[in-house]
Amino acid sequence: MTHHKAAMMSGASQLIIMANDKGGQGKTLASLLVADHAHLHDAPLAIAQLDAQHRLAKTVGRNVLTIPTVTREARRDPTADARSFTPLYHMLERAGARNTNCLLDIGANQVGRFANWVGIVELDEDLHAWAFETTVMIPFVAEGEGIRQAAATADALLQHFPRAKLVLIQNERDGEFAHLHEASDAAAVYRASIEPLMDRATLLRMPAIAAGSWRPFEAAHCRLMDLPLMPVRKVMALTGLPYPESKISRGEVAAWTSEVFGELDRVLNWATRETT
Amino acid sequence: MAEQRDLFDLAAADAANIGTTTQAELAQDLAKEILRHPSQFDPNRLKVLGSDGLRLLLAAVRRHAVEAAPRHGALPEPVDRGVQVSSWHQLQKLEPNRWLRALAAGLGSGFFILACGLVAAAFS
Repeated sequence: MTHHKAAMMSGASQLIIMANDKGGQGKTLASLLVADHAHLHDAPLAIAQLDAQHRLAKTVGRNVLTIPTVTREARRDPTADARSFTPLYHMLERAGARNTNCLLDIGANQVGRFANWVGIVELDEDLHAWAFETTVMIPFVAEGEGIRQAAATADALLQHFPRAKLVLIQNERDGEFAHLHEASDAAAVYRASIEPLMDRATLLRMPAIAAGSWRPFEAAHCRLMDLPLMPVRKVMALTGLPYPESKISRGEVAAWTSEVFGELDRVLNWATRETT
Repeated sequence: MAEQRDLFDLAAADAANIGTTTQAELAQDLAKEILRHPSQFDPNRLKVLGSDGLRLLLAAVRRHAVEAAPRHGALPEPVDRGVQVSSWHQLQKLEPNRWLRALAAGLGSGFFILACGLVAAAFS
């Protein structure tokens, strides 16, 4: 199977940067999938987020480094904003030394700030020295502004991480990209801004989950990898759904997770404990 | 090490199968409820069925409709009192036999022509 090969192929630490400057594109869900994928491959993973909502920290349930969003001091002292990233720099430095993988979830409206800091500290050079392989993952849904911001995010980050792999995640929550009307704004933006990136990007599909199946689990801060073996009684207690509906929702989310893990197998090449 | 991943995939396939079977059973149950008490059925209960579940439900309803379709000339089936109040059911009538209607029309026309002929003969 693909994931067996992936685990043995490389021992390089992975830095996954999950970003889209627009909110509501599926960044947190995609980050959760990456975190669970790493866990199931026994790959040590340090997680950081630049997100005011702290959703990833609530779900993953372990130490997630949270970089505060724009600080009050930044208005008086321009270097204060750059200093707020110091814990992230130390985390990456430690992870590089220990051959640990890192996941960085960049929330909405934080890409410019992050790119600015990366440029100041020349992070790409340090990552290269610490033997990190960098992957920029950009989820987006089938609507014009999300697609436009995905392309802008890719441009901003690839400027500072020229060696990075680019992975575009088509989130089909709001409809399939193949069904976009040719004359629509979304299709025009896709042709103008995403298609030119295809030469260097890997395209992944994140299909829609059957209506409402994931929502109650998300509200209960469940992890995707725990669902298939979760007893139905516990699903009922967590979601408030009746018995048959609990079984249906659990099955739909489990099948969906397995399918998206299959997509992630194509691009994730974890440094695992055996190879360190 | 991908042993955990293999276990996850097996468990996910198992959970998906259980979910699919449950969805099929639920679709059958809901179809029965719709047919038994249509006026009392809450459509919100269909939310849980995905596209496959809705297809199964429609198939079950259609199957019942084909099996229970009235033959030509048969009296309509009795239905729920609640439905009867708000439906066209009460206006439904037994369709008359078209051969009897044609015979009656023919006889009527014949008598009319005969009557006209007799009246004309009486005044001539």
